[in-house]
Amino acid sequence: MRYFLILLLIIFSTPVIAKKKVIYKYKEYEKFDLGDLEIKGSIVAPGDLSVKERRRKKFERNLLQKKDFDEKIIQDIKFLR
Amino acid sequence: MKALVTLFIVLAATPVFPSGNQQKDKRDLVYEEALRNYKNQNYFTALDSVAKMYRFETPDQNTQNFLQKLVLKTGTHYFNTYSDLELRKINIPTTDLIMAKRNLYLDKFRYVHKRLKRVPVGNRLYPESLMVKASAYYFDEDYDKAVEYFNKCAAEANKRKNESENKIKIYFSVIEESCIIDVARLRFKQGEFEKAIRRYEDVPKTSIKWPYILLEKAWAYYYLGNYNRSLGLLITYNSPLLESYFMPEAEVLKALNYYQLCLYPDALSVVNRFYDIYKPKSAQLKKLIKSQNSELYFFDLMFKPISESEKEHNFLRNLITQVSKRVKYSLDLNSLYAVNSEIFQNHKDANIEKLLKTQKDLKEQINHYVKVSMHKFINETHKLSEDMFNLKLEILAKQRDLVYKQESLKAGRERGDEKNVERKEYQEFWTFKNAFWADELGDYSFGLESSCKVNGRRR
Repeated sequence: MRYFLILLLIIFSTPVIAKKKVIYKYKEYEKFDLGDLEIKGSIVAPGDLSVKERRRKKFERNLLQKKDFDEKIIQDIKFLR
Repeated sequence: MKALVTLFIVLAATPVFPSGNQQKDKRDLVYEEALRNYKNQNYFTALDSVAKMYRFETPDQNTQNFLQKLVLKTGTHYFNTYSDLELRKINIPTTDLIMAKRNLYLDKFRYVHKRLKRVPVGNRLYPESLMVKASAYYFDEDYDKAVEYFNKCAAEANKRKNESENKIKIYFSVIEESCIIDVARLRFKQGEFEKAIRRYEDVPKTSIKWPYILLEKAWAYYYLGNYNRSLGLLITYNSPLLESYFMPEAEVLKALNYYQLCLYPDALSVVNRFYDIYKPKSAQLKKLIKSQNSELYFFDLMFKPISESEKEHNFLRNLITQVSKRVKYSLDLNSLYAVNSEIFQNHKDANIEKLLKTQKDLKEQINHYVKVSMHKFINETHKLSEDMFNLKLEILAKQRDLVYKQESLKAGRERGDEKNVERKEYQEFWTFKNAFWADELGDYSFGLESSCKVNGRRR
């Protein structure tokens, strides 16, 4: 009986171990006739015109800056004599 | 042939240069003559003879002291044309200061300190030398030392101011205030605007420097984001007392403040006023100045009655007032009056030829100085009109964006409110009723609400 069970196990485990090589094949050409397609549902259209806002390019202009008064320091010395 | 050889020997035996003793005798003679001239109030003649004698050698201490005494009477103008080598030989505080200044303008800070080391504490030029020294540290980016010396300069000038009278007092006041302002400028450069404002406030309202620092202070408030206070400071220039201090940069800053508050129509009105009034006036002034053929036109202008110069161009009057308040102008004018009185005295020992030349030089120097000041003003207006143009484009762009986005700015056109005025604990609030009171000048603030919050809704 013991030997019989071992034999049964060996026989049933064989297809699991053995790897079968599977080859997938895709269609090389397929044609869809969109006019012939039937889609179930209701058509929803926007109520008014909408345009997706495009990010505008921002041109930064150089506005007047005052980093220091170095020129004035020299000028004050020159205005002394 | 024999006679020729004898002549040659005689010539060869004659010394080409005077011996040491002969030179000393000559120096003594010149010194004695200069002393006589000093007693006879021929100061310029005396200075010329002594300075010429020591053009290539250092005078002894006694002569150095005498030269210093003469310079007090004549001014430093005489040495302006001296080369560095010649100045170094003379070796008096005046020439050291002139050399130090030249080195400062050339960014040779090491030599500035080297020259100024020799100015004694008791000398009248000491506070001015401290100002130059501190400036050298400032430009050398040694800010701690710069602050130390600017403060020292202010303290020394203050001490001397209290001991002096009249014009000398004004000279020391200007030095004291300049050093205080320079510390404020240093803080401004470091981005410490609050500290800068506090230092600017140490300059009294009666100071001749005060009208100029309003603009600098307004910049500090602008960078602190306190646009209302900045606008308030700039409006001070509209008071009748400060009519002569028209500054084109103040107009640009005014427009910038309105722009930052998103008050675009106000900003545009300042920009347009600049283009409609100030720029054409500046162009007119340029045309007027260029059309003058007289060699000393600018010098003569300073002595014209205000009503006449104002008729020519109202900016002329403003610029003349500004220039006439500068120390340099006063010192040069003093020197010119001193030369004139020496010429008028017509003393028998006076070197009239030299005096007339000095008089011409001084007139040309003043003429040049005034001319440069006026052209600087015109160029500044021209340069700032570019900045105004950029600002105008920016304002128009912002307004266009609002239209495109169908948005509007928050505030209406109703004007300011007290709640928009940022105040310190010690500041009081008084409403402005179309009158400028002298003690209130420079303490104004607008109460405008920023319009930058968008009110509109996108559809």
